[in-house]
Amino acid sequence: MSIDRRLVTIICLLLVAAAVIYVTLEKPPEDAEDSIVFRETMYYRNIGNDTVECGICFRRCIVAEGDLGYCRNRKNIDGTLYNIVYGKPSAIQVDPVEKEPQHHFLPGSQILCIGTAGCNFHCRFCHNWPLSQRDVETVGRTFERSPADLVEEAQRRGIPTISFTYNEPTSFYEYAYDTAKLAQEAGINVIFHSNGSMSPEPLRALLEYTDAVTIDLKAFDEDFYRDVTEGRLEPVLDTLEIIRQEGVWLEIVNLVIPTLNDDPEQIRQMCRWIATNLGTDIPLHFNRFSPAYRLPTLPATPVDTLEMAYEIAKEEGLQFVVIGNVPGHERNSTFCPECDSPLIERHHFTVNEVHLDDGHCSNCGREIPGIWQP
Amino acid sequence: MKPAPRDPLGFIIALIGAGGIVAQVLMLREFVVASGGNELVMGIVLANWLMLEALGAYLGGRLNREDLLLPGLGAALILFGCILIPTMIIITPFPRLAFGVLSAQEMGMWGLTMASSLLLAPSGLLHGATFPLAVQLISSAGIRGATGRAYLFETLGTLVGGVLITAGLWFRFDATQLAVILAASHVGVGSFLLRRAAPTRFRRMLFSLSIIAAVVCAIWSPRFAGDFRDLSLDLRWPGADGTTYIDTPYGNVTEVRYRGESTVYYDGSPLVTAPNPDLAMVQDFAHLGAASHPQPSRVLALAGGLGGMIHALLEHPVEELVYVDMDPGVPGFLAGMDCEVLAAEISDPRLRIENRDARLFLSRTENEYDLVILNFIDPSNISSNRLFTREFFELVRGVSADEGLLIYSLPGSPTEMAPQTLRLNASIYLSARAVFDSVEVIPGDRNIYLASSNTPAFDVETLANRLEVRDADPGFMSHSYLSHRLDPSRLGLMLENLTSVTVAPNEDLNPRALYYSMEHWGGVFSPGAASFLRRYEERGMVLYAAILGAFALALLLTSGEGGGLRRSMLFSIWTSGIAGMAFDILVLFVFQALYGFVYTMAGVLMAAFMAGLYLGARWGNEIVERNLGYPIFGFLEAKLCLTLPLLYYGAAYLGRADPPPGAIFAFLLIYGVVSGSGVGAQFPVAAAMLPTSGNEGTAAGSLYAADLLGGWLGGLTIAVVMFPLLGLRGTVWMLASLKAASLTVFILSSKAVKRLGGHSV
Repeated sequence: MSIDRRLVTIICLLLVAAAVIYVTLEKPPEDAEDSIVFRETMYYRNIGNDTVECGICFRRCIVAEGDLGYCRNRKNIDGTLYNIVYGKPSAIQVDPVEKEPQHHFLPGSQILCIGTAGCNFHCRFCHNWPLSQRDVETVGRTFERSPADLVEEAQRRGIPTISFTYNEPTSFYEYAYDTAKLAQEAGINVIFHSNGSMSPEPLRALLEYTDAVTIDLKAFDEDFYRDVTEGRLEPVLDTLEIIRQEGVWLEIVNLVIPTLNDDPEQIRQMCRWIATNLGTDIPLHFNRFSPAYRLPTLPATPVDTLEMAYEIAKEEGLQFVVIGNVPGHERNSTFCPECDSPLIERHHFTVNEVHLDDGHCSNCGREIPGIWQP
Repeated sequence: MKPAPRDPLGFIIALIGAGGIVAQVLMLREFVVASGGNELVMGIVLANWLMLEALGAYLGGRLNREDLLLPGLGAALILFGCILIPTMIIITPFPRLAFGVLSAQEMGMWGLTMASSLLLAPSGLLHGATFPLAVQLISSAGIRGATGRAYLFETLGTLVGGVLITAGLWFRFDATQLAVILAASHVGVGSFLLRRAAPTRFRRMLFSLSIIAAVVCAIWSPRFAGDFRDLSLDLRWPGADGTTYIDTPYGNVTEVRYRGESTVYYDGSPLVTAPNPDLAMVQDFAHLGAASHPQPSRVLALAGGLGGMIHALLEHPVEELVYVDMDPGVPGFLAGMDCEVLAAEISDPRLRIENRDARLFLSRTENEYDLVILNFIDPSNISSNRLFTREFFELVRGVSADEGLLIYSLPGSPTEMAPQTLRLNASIYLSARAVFDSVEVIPGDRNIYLASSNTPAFDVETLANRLEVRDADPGFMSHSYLSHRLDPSRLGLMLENLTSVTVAPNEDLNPRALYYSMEHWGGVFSPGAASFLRRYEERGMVLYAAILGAFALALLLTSGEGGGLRRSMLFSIWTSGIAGMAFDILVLFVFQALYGFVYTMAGVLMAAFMAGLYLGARWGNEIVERNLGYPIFGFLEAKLCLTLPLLYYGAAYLGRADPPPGAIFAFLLIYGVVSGSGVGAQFPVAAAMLPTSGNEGTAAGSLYAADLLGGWLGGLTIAVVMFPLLGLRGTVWMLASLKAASLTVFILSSKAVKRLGGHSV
């Protein structure tokens, strides 16, 4: 090969190598350390060699020094486990309480909803995946709000309730806990929406400052939990029982997904378990699935399936069963288990009429469980 | 050079060409259904097919035993025919069977690459092997220029197959029926060859059986095809109570019935659910949009809307609603469904259905509209991206009445968007703001955009009042609901997000939103791919480095005294393969962007390119006959180099000049023939110049493989990365640089050969 040809070849190859190195280099996140607020995790233990075991949820992650937990919101720094999203919400919005859904809690009122990045589940149908399936460094945006800031905002806007929702509150437990404490002191209600994976001890602690909880009971099948959400069923059932024991208002949501968790026998087992272990007065929401996230081609839940689930729940004795995400459906409203007259007429998230007198059916006088007054 | 009379090999090679293009179209169609039509997915699948054909060509060229050539070719055709139907059956259910997911796009980048490679390997390898085998057969008969001759017939077959499938077959048969006919023809012809090879009793019997089977299949193909399709649908939708489908020239419509409800899918994406459509999002979108206009008398709905949106719009004081959907099969299919909402929509006398391309309709209509509303589509491929560009918005503004409003939606989030989703939204927002004075956005699962040259009334009181007066409130759009949806702090935050990110606008000849759309897809299904695409956008200069790298590698590999010229020819053919794929993709794109999509006209343009290939191949063979090799090959390289940029400058000029529609079509037609001829002429010339070391089949296999590998790389990079990132101008100049590099390498190599006293053609 001539010298000129060789030279050209070598120069070209060097440029290519430089380009490959350049394009494959990860850019360090901007001001990464500065942007993270550290708050020591409330429930964990050191198991030696600067390795810790987190105690917030059923996973009990073993986190080595420098690593993150499964939820990506807890980081081990020199043997101390920190919540790295504390004070860093990514969503602060006002929603109607019916969207939670909470149908027996101050109907028609608004809630200040708080969510961060991260989650300890990976549900393939998650509607909030831009938050829940990201960590604090890759999520689109974070705000800086201390717990006091959140309470002050709710007061300033005249919103009676703060809700920890969108992503799993377990993953930002300390932030939720501190905010809930302050909120209760300030006379602001607290609710949260969870996948039910919180460990018993932190759960009981948080419930002391909580007025109502919505739990997703995603299926009554461990296989579903493992394959579709990367979670587990048993901790969720434990959570439901604890909430009931602690006397905090509880509502349950089951998102009915065609072919995955819509088996009638499974639904019956779930309803029977609820009736037996929690009581028949727990509101149960059967929500219609619509294609989302990693299930873009699964069909929407047939309304017949939702109505079948409704009938099964009623047969098993559950008194307050609702069909959600089907605007205009009669059973989107709440009916008196005694006289079947409408208690709360709803169209999607909008409350049109309330027929309650001091927590009693205005038709027959039956007491209706719930939180009807602030 | 004319084919020898009564030479069946010419017909057989033409069948190989026709079969290749038809099989490619059929399998790609199945992958469209399996993947929801995502451009990235289609690029990967097409690239894999070409790579497998290239590998098959290389391996086929290695078969040297003369006694095995004819039976080998026969067996390859038979096996190809036999494997085609099972492959077609398994494509759409494969994601579920192998990965437990319903759509190919859920498999992620690597899963998709591996899965499509596995699926297509048998048919791709077999089909690829047939060309060099055919070349060797011709060569063994003592016919000179066997490669060029075979290429001539192959391009002729590709032309005929392409014309048949675009101009006629799709209107008469569905995809599975075509596959059955294709399979039968290959099995029949393959058996004929086997019988000719050395007529043993077994082969005679096989031939007879095959002919019977082929005839039976051809006659009974609708019945067989229906059974095959049903099997494929059963595998894809286990537990379904039933399925119905139609194939139109534009796409596939499938109805899946499950527990009393039907979901209609168009090319694998859910379209409508009946009898209970998912109305919440649709009503929210339609009513918010329509209520933002004081008097929406004339409404234009583009790219769909049946199944709820049209129904919601008609609850407003609409006098005429023009519904534009390119595929006439869709309204017809939906009209037959048991659904009150659909029935009310279709029977409403105010509705007028136009089966045309949306861009074409906009450029032709002389009416003005109060509302132009785009159904829930995404800019996830070249075709749909045309409805989100600055030029599209200008067309809409041109048909908008005073106070006219454009309403469209994009993937969003009720809380915080993923960065990829934000960039997609921001790019299109930028394009809309360049045309409209006012662009409002309402965040949600799908962000709703309202664009106007005025400032629409956008307050809760006005909207609530209009909904009430028009009696159009679906029941949940109360004052409190509207206050929630139009919360100024959320809208303000959304606008702030959109304007804070640095993105490029989306334009016809610079479809950047397509790139962001792929990033968005990656954000959902393949975070690694999203991360790569993001880094690549920031450091896109690596493409130019890639050109340099290819140039350097070529210099390196062609420096030896022995194989230098040979490798430079392969390099040239490889780069011409990339250029050929570019012509294929970009000509059709320019047509869609400047004119609109008309199925038959697009087919004619594709046929023009193939005709160019054929004419070029004929010319190339004549060049070989006249021993004009070196200078002409260099000329052909230079021709391709110069032809590429002409596409951009021609398109840019036509885009600005607003010429008669016929001028656009004529330009692209001529361009197709000219560009095709350049690519087509090179192959036989290269084949004749290539030192063969005695085995023309091996040389043909290598050349064909190089051509296909070029197509592979082109398919993988042009539509997916190069064009969305660099735009048309950057892409054609990039490719012209590549051709210049191969020309340089060729000149240096041919000079080296001459210095050494090497051969000439």
